[in-house]
Amino acid sequence: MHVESFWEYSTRILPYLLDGIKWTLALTAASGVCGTLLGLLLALARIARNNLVRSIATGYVVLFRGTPLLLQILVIYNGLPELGLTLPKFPSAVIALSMNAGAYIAEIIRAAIQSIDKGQMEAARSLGMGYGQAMRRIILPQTFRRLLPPMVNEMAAMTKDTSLAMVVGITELMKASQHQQASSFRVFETYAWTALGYLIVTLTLNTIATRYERKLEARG
Amino acid sequence: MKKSSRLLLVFLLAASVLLTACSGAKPTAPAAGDGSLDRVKQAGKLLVAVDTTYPPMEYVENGKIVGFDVDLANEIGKKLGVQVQFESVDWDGILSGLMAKRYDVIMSSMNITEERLKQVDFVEYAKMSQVFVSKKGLDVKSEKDLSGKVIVVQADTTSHEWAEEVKKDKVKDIKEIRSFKGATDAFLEVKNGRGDVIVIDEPVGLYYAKKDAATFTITGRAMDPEAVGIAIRKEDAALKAAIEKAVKDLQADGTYKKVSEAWFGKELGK
Repeated sequence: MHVESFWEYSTRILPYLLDGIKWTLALTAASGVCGTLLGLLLALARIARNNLVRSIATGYVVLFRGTPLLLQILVIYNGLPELGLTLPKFPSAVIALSMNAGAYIAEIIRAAIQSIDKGQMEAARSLGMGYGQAMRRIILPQTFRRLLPPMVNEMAAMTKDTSLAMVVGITELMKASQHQQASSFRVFETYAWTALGYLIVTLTLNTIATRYERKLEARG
Repeated sequence: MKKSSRLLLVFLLAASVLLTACSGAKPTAPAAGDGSLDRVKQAGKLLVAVDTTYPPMEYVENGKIVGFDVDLANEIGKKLGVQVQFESVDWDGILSGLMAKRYDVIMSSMNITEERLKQVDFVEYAKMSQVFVSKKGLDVKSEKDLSGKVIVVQADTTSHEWAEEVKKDKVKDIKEIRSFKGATDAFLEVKNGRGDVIVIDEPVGLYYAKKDAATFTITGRAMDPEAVGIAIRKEDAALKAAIEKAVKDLQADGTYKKVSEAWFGKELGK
């Protein structure tokens, strides 16, 4: 029997791994956007003066940061149908990833907001701005630079977490690699390419962020 | 102050709506009564769940789901006049997915067992025996040869149950039973030297023994042929009847034999 060389094997499997990366990227992008928006709202709720709002947000963060993402995915995909809500696999994975990331991002944003000197808010309010306006125009813009490094961390972590989406049958990069490895029994070579795939995604994220950070610095 | 907190509540509500909108989530409507066959015909496609870690029954080759079950399902689809669409699902979640109406049927070499019959109905389409696949140098012919060995099985399968029973009642000194999510993981475990013998459906054992003869040998039969069926929700009686008829027709007109010979060089279970 002809045994494929490393390069023969690689060129045969790479197209399938690339198909997998497309799903990994789609999951990361969708969950990144949804998770960030959710995180922003949660962060504002976490520092709200209303007790109820604050405790709802705190409870949310405790729940989603304190339980495994794998459990959250399975509850949304396999548990909700028992309550009458059957979601397809991609939305299930995106919801779980966003809700999980939202909890972490909320804390990142809250910390950034609270790190801005209180005098900024007081000054804005004394100029006649409302709370929302002051937040939007004075406080939040100042948090961007402090937000960037931990947000890149979070996005890199999420990119890798998308591999859990395979449990609901999404053939993302990790699952695609397992398919190839399962029929070839060439585990090491296959996973070496997989690792490179994830590295390319996270390094790209990192490069974009670094560039953006420099731009913000230049502007002051 | 009050105003801003109310605003935040609205924000939170908006967030949940947004999250749902972001993912384009739509709850699927439950199928009414037993319009099961009409439902499939109207959709023009039969959604079939398969666990693709099971060559040559169902597996992924060059990015496509192929296998005996896949070919046969396509033939059933032709008889029903619908397209067949396959969904790759992990074995441990395959039944709950059927109950959640994520697909119409499961056609994934599933043995018909009493326990499963409590949950779903089956249309039998094959019989398969289970064999011992030993690593090179071992010769497990029957249960008693299992003493001191590490047995590897796919989790929640009839082979898994069988191994647990043998260990409990007959061969108590089986060293360990290791179960894996996918059948392919079970073979990898033995290839890597951490397991001694796999108990699995004969066609799957034959596939690996042929693919990697240096590692795997079929050394004996563990279980006599057992019925394998297409799992269908109990309320989908009309669909079940149509599939039952299609399987009978395929067996009568020689298509079944043709598909079987293409994959196994003989008729399955004979």
